[in-house]
Amino acid sequence: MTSILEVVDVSVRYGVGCERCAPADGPARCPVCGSVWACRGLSFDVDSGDVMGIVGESGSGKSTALACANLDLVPLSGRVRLLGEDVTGIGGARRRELRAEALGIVCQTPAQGLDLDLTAGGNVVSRMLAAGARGYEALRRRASELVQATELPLERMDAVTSTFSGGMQQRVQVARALATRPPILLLDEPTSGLDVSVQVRLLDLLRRIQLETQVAMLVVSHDLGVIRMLADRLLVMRQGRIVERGLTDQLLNDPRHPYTQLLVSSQLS
Amino acid sequence: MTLRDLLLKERPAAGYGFAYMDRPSKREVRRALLKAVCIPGHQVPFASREMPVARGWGSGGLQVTLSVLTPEDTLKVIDQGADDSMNAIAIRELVQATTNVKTTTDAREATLIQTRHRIPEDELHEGQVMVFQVPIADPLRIVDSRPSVTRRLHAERDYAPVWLYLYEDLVQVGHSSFTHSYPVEVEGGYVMSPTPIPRHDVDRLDRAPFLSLFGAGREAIVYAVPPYTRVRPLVFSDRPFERERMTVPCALCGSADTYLVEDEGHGQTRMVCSDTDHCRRRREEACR
Amino acid sequence: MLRVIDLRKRYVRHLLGGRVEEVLRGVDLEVDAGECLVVTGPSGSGKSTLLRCIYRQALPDSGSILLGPPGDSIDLAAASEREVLERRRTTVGLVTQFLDVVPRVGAADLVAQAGCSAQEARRLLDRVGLPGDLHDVPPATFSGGQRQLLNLARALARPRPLLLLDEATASLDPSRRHAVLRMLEEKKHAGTALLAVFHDVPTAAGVVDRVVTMREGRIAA
Repeated sequence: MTSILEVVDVSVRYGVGCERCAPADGPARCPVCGSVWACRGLSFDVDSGDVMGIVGESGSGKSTALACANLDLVPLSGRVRLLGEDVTGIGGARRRELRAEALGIVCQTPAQGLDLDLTAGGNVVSRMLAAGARGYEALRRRASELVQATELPLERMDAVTSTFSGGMQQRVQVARALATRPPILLLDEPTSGLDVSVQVRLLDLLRRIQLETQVAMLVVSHDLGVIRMLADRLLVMRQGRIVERGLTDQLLNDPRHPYTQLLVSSQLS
Repeated sequence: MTLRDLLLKERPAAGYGFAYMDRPSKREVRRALLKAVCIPGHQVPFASREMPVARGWGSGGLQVTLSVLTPEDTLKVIDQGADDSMNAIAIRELVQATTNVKTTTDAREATLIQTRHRIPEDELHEGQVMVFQVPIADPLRIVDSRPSVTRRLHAERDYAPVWLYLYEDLVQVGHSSFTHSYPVEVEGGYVMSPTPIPRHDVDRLDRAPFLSLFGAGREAIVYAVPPYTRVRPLVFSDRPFERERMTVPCALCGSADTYLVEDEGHGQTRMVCSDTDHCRRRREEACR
Repeated sequence: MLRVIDLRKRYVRHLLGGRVEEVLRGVDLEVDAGECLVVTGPSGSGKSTLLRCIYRQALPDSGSILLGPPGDSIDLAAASEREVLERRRTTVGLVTQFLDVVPRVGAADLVAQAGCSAQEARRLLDRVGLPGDLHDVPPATFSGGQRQLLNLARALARPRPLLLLDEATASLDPSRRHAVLRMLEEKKHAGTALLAVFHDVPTAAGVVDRVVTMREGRIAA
């Protein structure tokens, strides 16, 4: 088992902070200085082949956790390690390399993760180009492989991405994320805004890809149904903290923390 | 009394120094140019002065020429390859009037050649200086119009967006859509625009014996490529760089390997050499 | 193969004002390889919770769950999440009445994903008696009995030394039930340890070796 992602005691704060901020079980927003602690003391790791879910409602800090993993945010304290390398606060060329080769991300909305004015194939190869690939034929081959693997119609590979439906655009994101064969895929509410039948197809695709390639995944969602489909292990976050963690089916069957019990009982279906 | 007489006579009183520009302004440009030469392909900002040439018409190239010229230089000015186009004439006369340097149309004799859109067909040699007029300095303008974004991309050598652009071209059109200003990578890693020279001329910059200086007056940017520096067009490893293919020889001199342009004279359209001086000399050779 | 020592578990229902339910109050049992131990008892006695704790679908509060031959065992109650996941893959199977429905994935694919080839999956489905025309159908529309058969096939996809069975035949008709019990007996003879919860203990000889009764969270004497 190789360690892919390690998040160690990470805290992210918006605002200046003060001595009274962030007591062990205080609120996420400091009543004295107004700083918001987006996450506090976050620790978890993802090894090769793991699928880790993070569930929580708005303001839970789950998206912040993902942003730290994606090197989008520099934590106030704590460390983030990728494949054993300390990447906390990293910038510049190394960050770009890692984001092109070691991390794949599927953003909540296609507009965030794609350039909708490019062709689908262009979006798919963009990270390969960022990683230094320079053979046109090789790029085309890999792009068609991925387009097919994500069940997109091959004949639309050269169509402009803005002409695709939302569900198809999400598939383009998946293809793009997988293009450089990263060891870990980060998924931020991957099914948000999609019709239910489209959601199911996308989740099915992600599940199959995970089974076939054994890529590690970190899935953030407010929807326990999504988590249940994809994740073996789960973190429950509230107000910036992990309140409970365990195997997904264990947390769903035997939630212990009051908040987890509330979440599980609130699920429709 | 001609304008020239006026300028020559009134020069010191009217405040004109050698080459029209005042000394501090010339120093400013030279300082920027020195930095540019030290960092090939890197865009260096400079305090661009008002010139008697409208912005977008060569004010940057002109400032470079005026700052670099010495009384011993021999100057050639071309526009679209021709010495006798209106802009070339206007610039040449201004420089001549304020410096009294020798001018020529023969690229082999010139020590400094200011140009827009062409590199002369003649083989150039060490010691010569090419000054290019640049309309758009930033090759990344095609991917984002904000300098705040492109500066960072250059700093991080993040040229993936340009490669994407080239990829999309190949996909949509089958070949690159750049007819001029093809992005090139300069030794050391910066990607630059070689100004609106056609693809025909791009490989002349690679390891050239001459010094290349690029001036963009409106954007207030200069950049440079010192002699014998590698300059390579961005191409995929399996799609070699292609120059324009001339389908007919020059109607005047019969050349099959020079860059041709359309000429609408004498009531008919024909293809002729863009480098007028080179063409003329070829015809003269042929007549002997 | 399996030793449960003084296992205790309570549920704290925060949504009901923090009501405490003691479900397991110190359970001890042992199952050897090639043995079938049946746990029976009234509803609410904790039988299902016991199986769940072993499989880590529920977290025990104290006690040990030693899995593996003596000398080479791991305490599932204290094991890490990854270790438990690994054991689920290779060592322990769980057959329940419920099925987590994965939309769009056909029965045969679900079995194959549990650890065997596509061909093997279909063979298994035939053996447990799922009609051929349902092999490629997602189980969302399956009857309770059909789901049970699918669950069984999934648990059998890989040879696992320990099988936990929670009312594994409850929704099957008598002939199917008989066939399934025969299958389990075969597995037993091949060395698999079986820990099965039955409300109605099957009387078919050959399958059941020992029976214990649970009452109010304990094994009754």
